[in-house]
Amino acid sequence: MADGGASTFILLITALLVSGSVSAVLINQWGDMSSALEENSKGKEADSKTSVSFAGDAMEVDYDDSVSPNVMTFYLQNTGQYVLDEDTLVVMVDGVSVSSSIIATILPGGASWTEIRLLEVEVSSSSWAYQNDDSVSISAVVSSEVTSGYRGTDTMNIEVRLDV
Amino acid sequence: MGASVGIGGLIIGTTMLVVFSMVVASIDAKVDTSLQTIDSATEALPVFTIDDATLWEGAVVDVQIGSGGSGYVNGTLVSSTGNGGFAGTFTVNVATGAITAVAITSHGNYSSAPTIVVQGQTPTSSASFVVSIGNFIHSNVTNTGSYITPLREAWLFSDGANPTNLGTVFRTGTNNPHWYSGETLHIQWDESGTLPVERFALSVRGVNMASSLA
Repeated sequence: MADGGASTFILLITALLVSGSVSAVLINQWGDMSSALEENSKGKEADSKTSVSFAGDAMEVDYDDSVSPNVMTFYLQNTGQYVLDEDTLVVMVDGVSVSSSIIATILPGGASWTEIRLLEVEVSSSSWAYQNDDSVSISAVVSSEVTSGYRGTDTMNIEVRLDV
Repeated sequence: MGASVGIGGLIIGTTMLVVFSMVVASIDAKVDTSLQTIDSATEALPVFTIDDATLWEGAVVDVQIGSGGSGYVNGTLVSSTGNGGFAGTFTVNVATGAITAVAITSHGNYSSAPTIVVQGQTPTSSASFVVSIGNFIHSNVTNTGSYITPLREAWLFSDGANPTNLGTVFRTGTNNPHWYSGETLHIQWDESGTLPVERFALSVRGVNMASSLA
């Protein structure tokens, strides 16, 4: 009886050790998974609250060919909930990046591109030779300011007609 | 021996409960985020129409007081030249009867700057005014959707440029900062751009509408 009790006790201790180890591993794994899910959720939330849209008249985008290099001016509106970071703005015209020549002005005047405000975007390129009424494709990618440790990102694509 | 088994079971059960509660907490947080995303996706979009848009190139955009005169009481201003439809009001210094402020109530439309005079008063000395004319866009716009639009969200454009917030533009009959469903706003916009101006556009939260100017 004493032998049987000892072996049962050993088995119990072994079972406890094994289940404790498995639980520790499971808890650790779940913690990692939970962190990943949380990060993913916050990233998606930041994306869903980051939005940029073209504003103005797509049929009349100003194009100044009297200066060199030629300058194109259009407007973007912050239509999301997060403050956008104009310094992260990437612009492509007909698929070619012109981000190195962006002059961005927040309207009405302000320090940050908050919800509803416009951003006047002037881009230029010495390789352009567009004419009046030419159609061009404008793409813009912008990120939000860091909010709760995350940046959201949004993209805008539009076909516009130039007004020289 | 039985107590050891019981304690062992208790430890295992407690561990399982901890794991279960962590799973529930994670799923709960995930569902919250998803619901927020769904909520923002189902928010109504602005829907509106530009019923008409007209450019008046000779509207009275500014009336400055050249000389305030004396012997006046608060009253109205009219144009003594042309039939462009200008109307305004003025207020005076009660002690001297000199005109101190002018407000335009109807900008009218003229081929050249009209002469503005005080209507129906005999002053001690007459006032004079300096009149400026310029571009004025008149437009009726209707909110045909269900989204109640804060005016600060709406921007006006002429020929795709000169962005002006709708909240800062004169609207006949209302000073309300919101544009309600079914409501028509009569906009009078001192556009101040260079001629020719051919198109008028209104942008609200990524929804853009444009119209040729009559």
